[in-house]
Amino acid sequence: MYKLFLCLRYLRKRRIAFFAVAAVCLCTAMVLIVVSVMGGFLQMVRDRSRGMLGDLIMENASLQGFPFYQEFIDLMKAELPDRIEEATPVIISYGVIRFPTDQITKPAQIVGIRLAETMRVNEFGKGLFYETYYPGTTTLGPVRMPCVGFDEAGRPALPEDLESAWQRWRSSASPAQVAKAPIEESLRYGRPGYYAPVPAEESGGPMAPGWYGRELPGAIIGTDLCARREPDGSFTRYYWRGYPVTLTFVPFTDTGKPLETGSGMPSKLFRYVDDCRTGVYDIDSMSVYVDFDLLQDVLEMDEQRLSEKAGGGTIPPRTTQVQIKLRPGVDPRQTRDLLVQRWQEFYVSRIEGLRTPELIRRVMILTWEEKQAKFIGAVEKEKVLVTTLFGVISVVAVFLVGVIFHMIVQQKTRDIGIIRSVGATSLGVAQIFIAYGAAVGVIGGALGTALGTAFVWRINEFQDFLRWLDPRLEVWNAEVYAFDRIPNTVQAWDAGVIYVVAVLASIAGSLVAARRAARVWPVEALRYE
Amino acid sequence: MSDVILQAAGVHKSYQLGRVSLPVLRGVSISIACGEFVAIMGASGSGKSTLLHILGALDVPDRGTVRFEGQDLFAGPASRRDVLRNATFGFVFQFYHLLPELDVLENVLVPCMVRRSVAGWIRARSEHRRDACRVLEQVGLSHRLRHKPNELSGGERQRVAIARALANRPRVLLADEPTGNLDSATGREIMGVLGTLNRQGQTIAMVTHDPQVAACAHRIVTLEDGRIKSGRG
Repeated sequence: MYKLFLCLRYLRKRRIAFFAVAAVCLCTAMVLIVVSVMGGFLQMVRDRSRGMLGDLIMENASLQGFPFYQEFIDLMKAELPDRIEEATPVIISYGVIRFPTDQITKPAQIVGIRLAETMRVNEFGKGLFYETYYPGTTTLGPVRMPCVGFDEAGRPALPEDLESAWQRWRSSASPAQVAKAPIEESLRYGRPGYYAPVPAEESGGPMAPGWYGRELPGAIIGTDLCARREPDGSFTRYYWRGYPVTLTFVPFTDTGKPLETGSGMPSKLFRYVDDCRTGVYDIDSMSVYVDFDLLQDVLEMDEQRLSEKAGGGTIPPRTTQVQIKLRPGVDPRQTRDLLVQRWQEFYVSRIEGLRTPELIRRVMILTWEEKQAKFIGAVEKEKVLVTTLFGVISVVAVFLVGVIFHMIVQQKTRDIGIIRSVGATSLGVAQIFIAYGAAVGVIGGALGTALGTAFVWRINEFQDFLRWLDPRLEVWNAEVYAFDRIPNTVQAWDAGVIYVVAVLASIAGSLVAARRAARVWPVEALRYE
Repeated sequence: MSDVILQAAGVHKSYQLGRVSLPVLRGVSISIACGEFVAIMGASGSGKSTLLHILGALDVPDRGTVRFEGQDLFAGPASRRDVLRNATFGFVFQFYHLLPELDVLENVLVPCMVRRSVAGWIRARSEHRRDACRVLEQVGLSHRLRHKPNELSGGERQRVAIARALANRPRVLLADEPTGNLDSATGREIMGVLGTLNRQGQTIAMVTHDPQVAACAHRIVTLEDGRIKSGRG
């Protein structure tokens, strides 16, 4: 009993022990923050990679793409219905984007997608802003510009179909989601998003809300291309929904040469129908999504008839990527092997007479992890490295606990003599100091875990605050780390392991002092006052 | 008073001072009877405190034997001596040696805690508290239970030390210069307490260099240069 009693009493009365508790607390918090942020970063890389790509990806890593994709998709969906849930072709190309009212032209990754299919294959749909609050209103097809007018009572109002979509979302969303909807109060129509007023020349009277301007194909734009992030995490959009935007394309022939169109690079006017936020900065600041068939047509990746001079015949339509979603529980690696085998059997019969057979020979089928292996592997290594470094730094806490306990034992030599004189064993004396070390670890570790967890949970607010104080204090650069927010989740397992290690490290720090205490010779300790 | 409770025979003890071995006890033999009050006198460095520590199993002799009720104190493992120090011997030191973080009652309870596990302590706590309060009342400190040692006078501290030594009802009380740090009036008070305890049957061995203090004992043994100079050993 005396061991527990004296340990708790020393813990309460010896103020020097507070320094040991503080050291353990800070080191625990530091390691927990590093492990959580790096672990969260790794998890985000994995989640977003899968979310953006689907389970399997088929590509030949060229700008020309590869042919026979649709036949293969149809064949596989028919042959492997129990494995493949959905598959969709995607064209990834490059070009430039320009809003007519801006005088700035930016580089863009122009992605051709089949919107409905893509939303079934990956998590693209979850990142769409307007589609979230006005479900069913985002389209990559021809569209006019939605404008805010006034209803019969003279109140600002959106076009009827947008208004009913908003009401539909409101009725299906939870009260918390409705409360969080980003309604811009300064815009008097009280709905999320940024809409143009009815143009004066169009209204000719009561300024009724509606769709105005000529029909243009829709384009979904990466959020960081068309909006500014505010310190509170919300976005301020620069452009009205439906605002025109010009895209300029860089097409290539199937042989990889720049396509000669005669009138320079093709440009086309679109309407900004929605913005998409994947959370990956490189994508959100570069990508523009347009209709697959339209992009295929503009880039001349659709079926092309070759001139007699070029040898005649046709070039089949091409895509640069196929994204495949597997049914739940299906093993991606096994299915990849199966698809590789099927693809090899499939293309052999079609390669005959193809002008660029390499395009299909080089098609690879990868799991999402293999596609991102280089990036994921680098982040995994970085996590191990940073955790090890901070773990080594935390050894300082062990030494600090050791030094503080050494001092305590030195100050308490007489007390040790006293308790030995009333029958305490040398092992019992050692156990007092080991229990003392464990108590320092238990308390310091708990405080450190709480501190680290609270810090990680609020890490983005903390960064926003620093940025508000001075933009130069920003520690997480979205352009460097790819994600626009710092990972802010703490895994219970990580916290538990770090806590146990903190307690063990604290006990280790007390061992030398405990051994010294056990060796105190009571007669010598009690000889003098 | 004729039953020998504690007996040392031919006890030698040296301390190592660098390369030099300094003999402190040179074949000391002494017997203490049950209920006896023995004073061990001698000049500074004569070995009287060392003898007391060896008699109470706090120190180990180089040679010779010490027997408690006929059993060799130093035969068997060290843990046996720890148990004896807890239950059989009670020490009182010149400088009181109280634990400063603990109050009077807690200081007295420490020897009781040493012999109890946490579960055993929870079961027996009230009984030990009652005994400790009784002993503190015996030494006249029942009104100071919650005071810290630094809030007490020298005499009060020594009375707490005596109460702590008596907490486990020891067979032998070993007092090392119990009045050495006190003024004469307080010293007389403490000797009064020890005299009362002895009259109640407590065996006491006391080290002192003060003849007036030693006069309170039944028997005086004088040490000189590690040997018994006078008195029956």
